Amino acid sequence: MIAEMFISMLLLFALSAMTINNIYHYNEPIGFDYANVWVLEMDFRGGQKDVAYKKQLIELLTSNIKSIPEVLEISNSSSCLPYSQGARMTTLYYKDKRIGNSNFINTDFHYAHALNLKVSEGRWYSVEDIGKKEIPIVINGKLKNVLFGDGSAIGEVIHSGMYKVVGLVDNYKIKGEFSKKSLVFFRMMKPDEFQNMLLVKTESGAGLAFEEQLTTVATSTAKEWTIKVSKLTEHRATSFKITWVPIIIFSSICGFLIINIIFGLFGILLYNINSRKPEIGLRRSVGATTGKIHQQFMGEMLMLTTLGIIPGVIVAVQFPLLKAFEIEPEIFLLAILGSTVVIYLLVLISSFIPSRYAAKTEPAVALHEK
Amino acid sequence: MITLENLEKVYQTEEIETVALDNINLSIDKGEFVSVMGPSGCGKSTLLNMVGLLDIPTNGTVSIDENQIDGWTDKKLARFRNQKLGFIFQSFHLINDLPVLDNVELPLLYRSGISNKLRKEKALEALGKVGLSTRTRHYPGQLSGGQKQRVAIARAIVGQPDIILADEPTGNLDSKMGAEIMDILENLNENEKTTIVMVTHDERLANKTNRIIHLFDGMQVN
Repeated sequence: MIAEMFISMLLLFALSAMTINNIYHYNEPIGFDYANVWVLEMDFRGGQKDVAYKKQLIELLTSNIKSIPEVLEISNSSSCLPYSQGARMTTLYYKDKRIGNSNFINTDFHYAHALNLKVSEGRWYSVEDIGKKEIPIVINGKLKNVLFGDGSAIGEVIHSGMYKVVGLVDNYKIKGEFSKKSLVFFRMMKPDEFQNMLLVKTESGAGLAFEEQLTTVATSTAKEWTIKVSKLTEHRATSFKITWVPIIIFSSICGFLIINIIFGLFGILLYNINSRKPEIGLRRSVGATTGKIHQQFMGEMLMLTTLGIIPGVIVAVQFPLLKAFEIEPEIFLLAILGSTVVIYLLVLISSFIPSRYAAKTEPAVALHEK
Repeated sequence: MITLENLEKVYQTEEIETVALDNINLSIDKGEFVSVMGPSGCGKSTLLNMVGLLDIPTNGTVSIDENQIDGWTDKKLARFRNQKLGFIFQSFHLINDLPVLDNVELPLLYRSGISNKLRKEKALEALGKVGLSTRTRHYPGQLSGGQKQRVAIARAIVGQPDIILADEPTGNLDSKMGAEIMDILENLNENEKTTIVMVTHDERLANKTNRIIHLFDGMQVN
């Protein structure tokens, strides 16, 4: 039973940590609007290889889409869209700092407007930045903190003079609601550069008819490319599934185990009580009340549970101490607390009825049980 | 001191009604050593359970020390058993997982206001009275039948009860050990003035008591 408690504790701890981690991050702002944004993913492989031609075709496509009345904004960017599971990362250098795992997204001037990014300091890059020595970038709050701490980021030149910070967006969680804040910077595309994604921001209410029109415009303009049209909300839904499906599966396994444990405890305690009936009779005869008998069996179960939970807690505490999986220590501590409380509650529930049965045993009958 | 009036106990199932005790009227004085005799199934143990407040009569009343035990709460009954009564059973009813000292301490665990130290002192004192001071750390499984029953007596007297109820205390012992146990009970009765009600099949032991109550088919026959 102690081993069962130990394993249950660790399983519940893992489940709690995953769940609390997701909820914790869900409460942080994502920094962009996903509503009324359509995504056009272009596959250039079928068409002509000429780069200038491709650039020209994208400009035509952009212009044609913009002519649809519902369209408010259109932006060309690299494939690291919000909610995408893939990432493009680089290492940034600033003075003696080396910042690895920095996500970067190549975008045009319209990206901020298309996703309603809030530039809290400085500005988004614009035509005035074309031809400058340094490539203008906009960084998110987390990258700013890592690079500059409390100091100002605007105007700072980083990465051996390659990039100049022109703007700051406080929040931008590239992988969506359930991800933790990551290091992100947006890099201005060069005038002759183009990317394979188009983000189309529309008025609210643009539905199926708009999607049909958008698809028609896209496929008729760039006949030689394969273009996949989707809504950003669909990407969000997929991201949610990727986050929650493993947790739901894990929860089901845990739930099954917990049900087994509850019935197991119930059975063990009932067997224990039946084999200890003379002892119950004796205790009643020497002055134990029904309440004391009830308390005794509940107490014994809680004691055994504690013996199983202690090693579980010792193992679990190593995770915040080692800062494992880059999860905040407070999340692990909450998970330890949560799983401990859940196990105690389950034990209390599963031992209540057998303990009550023990307490209600007639002492005169119990004393004559073999 | 112990008064049973028109005491009746009927066990009822769906099909059958068994009269275990029928119109028992009995009075046992303070300091008396009484034995209850009768064939198996005549209601001796049921009578002892009634006096020990472990079972409720179907009709009639049980009074101890002028307290009529009627409608008492579980808490009040438990406190009364703890303070006034001591039980000795044929099969000892020792808890095998506890050492002798802890077994003897058991009644005091349910008595409030007794420190751990005092509890141990009283348990050692009780074990001294039954001649088992050197077996305190032994477990029941390491003791002979006679020793086990002496531990059970120590447990019965540790709380200094006024009444000891012994249900065939020598039933599982040979005659020599039985005699030793009987000596202890006689000493308790004589020296401590403890009232003892003993159920027994052994006429020789019964003859050593002040009075014999005979039961037959749930009725008092003498």
